Amino acid sequence: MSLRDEIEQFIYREARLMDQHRFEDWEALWTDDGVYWVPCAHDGEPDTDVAIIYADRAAITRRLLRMKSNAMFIQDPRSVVARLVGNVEIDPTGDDAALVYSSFNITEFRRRGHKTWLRTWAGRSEHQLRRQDGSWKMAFKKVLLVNSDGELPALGFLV
Amino acid sequence: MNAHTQRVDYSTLIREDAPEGFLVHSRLYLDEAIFEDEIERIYHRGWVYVGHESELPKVGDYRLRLIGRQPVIMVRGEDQRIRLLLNRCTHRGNTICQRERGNTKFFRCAYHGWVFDNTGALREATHVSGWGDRPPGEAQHLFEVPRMGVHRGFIFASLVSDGVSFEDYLGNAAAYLSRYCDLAPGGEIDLSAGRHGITVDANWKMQLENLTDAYHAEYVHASALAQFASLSATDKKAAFTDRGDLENPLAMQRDLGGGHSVLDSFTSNRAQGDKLRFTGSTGTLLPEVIEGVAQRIGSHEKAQWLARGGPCHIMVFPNLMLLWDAVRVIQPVAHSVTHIYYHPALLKGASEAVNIARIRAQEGGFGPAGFLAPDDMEMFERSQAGMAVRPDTWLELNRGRHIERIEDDDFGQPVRTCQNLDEVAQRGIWRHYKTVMTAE
Repeated sequence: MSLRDEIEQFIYREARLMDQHRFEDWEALWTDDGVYWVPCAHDGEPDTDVAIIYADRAAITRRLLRMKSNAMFIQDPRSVVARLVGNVEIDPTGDDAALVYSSFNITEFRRRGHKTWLRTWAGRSEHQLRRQDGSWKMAFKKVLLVNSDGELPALGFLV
Repeated sequence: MNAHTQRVDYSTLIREDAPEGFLVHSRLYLDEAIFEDEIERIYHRGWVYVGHESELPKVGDYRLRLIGRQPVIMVRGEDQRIRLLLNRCTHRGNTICQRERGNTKFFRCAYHGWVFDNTGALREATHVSGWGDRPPGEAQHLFEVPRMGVHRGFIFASLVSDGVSFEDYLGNAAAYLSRYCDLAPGGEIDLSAGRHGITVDANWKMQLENLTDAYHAEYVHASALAQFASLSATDKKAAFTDRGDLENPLAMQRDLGGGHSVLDSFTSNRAQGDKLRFTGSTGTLLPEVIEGVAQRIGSHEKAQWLARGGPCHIMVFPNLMLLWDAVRVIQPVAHSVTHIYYHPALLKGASEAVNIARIRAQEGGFGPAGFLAPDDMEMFERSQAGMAVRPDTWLELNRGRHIERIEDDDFGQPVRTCQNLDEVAQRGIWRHYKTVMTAE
């Protein structure tokens, strides 16, 4: 497989695992020093600006444990989500490392009792990938939601 | 006064001494006409929190804010003074500022080119000969909100020039705002880390009622409490639920009057010792903060007492809330839509490590993807939906009514008090609400 094929496959696979709420499989995509960042201001910095999510590896695990529990009420019942990922742009940063830009569009279906609704989420992602023992892993993921600076509904699934 | 005001008799919708106890009618959350009354009476005539001085460190810094429905520019002018100016050109009424934040010397109306400086003064009306010998002048300066009050950097305003004074409005809440700032080595908080926002399909008053409701925490936040890894199971219970019993409560719920309330956890915070979490996700940074406070006030003993008491949950009617690491602002949008903004409250004079920890702690709990806030929002939306199923029903607020008493708080202020899991704060909100909504 070409580098592009490998990395596109990785990005699509990650998208599918998020859509399917396969939290343990998604967690396995991270390196041990992974950082997951969803900023509010797109030009913000983690140390000086509040984010929607800024999670080191331990915080990623805590987040997933909560998502797996049956008492995360914002996801009871769980959202059904389907996303399209595209515009994949690959910038090799070493023999076994790449910076990957992509765009996503997520449709979310939620139900609460008799009420149901569809929502759209969209944005761009930046993945820093590293190849470890032959497999690509996420060392860093930054998600720029188009509405990150606005008033958001609660975000209960993975982006 | 609009037509709705005559139509709604608020005294019949809030019943303090019904046979069933303290009752509030669900219509108060569901009715668009009532919401319009609230905006007019509470937000357009009363005092409202608008922002914090630390958001505007430099001349020309501005933020767009709303007082009820009125868009205002909170701006630090050339003369260093902060003003609240209506975002409305005095010529044809265009909004003159479209960005939520920025820095500027001038606001230029795009429609006909009028230019106002950052003190609100009209500096240029274009093609002035068109007005003959009566060109636009001082009467066309931007409208400045008539009353602004500042307490320890917290900026409040009232859109009307008469009415309750700022000091009387803040009342017993002032001491709690001061205490929150006293916990910073520099004696001030700093909201420069920005904010995140949530929109929720529920009535704004649910936010007020929830802030000092300790009763919900162990149920709504079970999945979050399970993940506070720094605490053992016993400590979690001590920190969040087991705040003593009725005879020996560690935390008190207090109705401060004026609609303000607190969940006064000073005593239970001190009982937690080094496990106190208010400086961020762990308490290991606490000694550093205490040292900083001691240097400022010149007493280690007093600094220990202050800092180990920590912050408590503070709700300042109608839209400001402080807890742990953040300042929270609520913005009513419609009877069933509310926006909530969360600003990490950095401690001036504290190390970068302390303030980073506070930002991380804020994100961990609150905002659209925090471990706590989203589940609260879910509860509010469920309440809004559930109440509408049979809107003609009463809600009761009777917890702790049998032990409600007047007691001195930490500042020697005599206030209505119950145990932490009770509802004296919620009754206080509604007592004040009734007073405001039925006033002449």
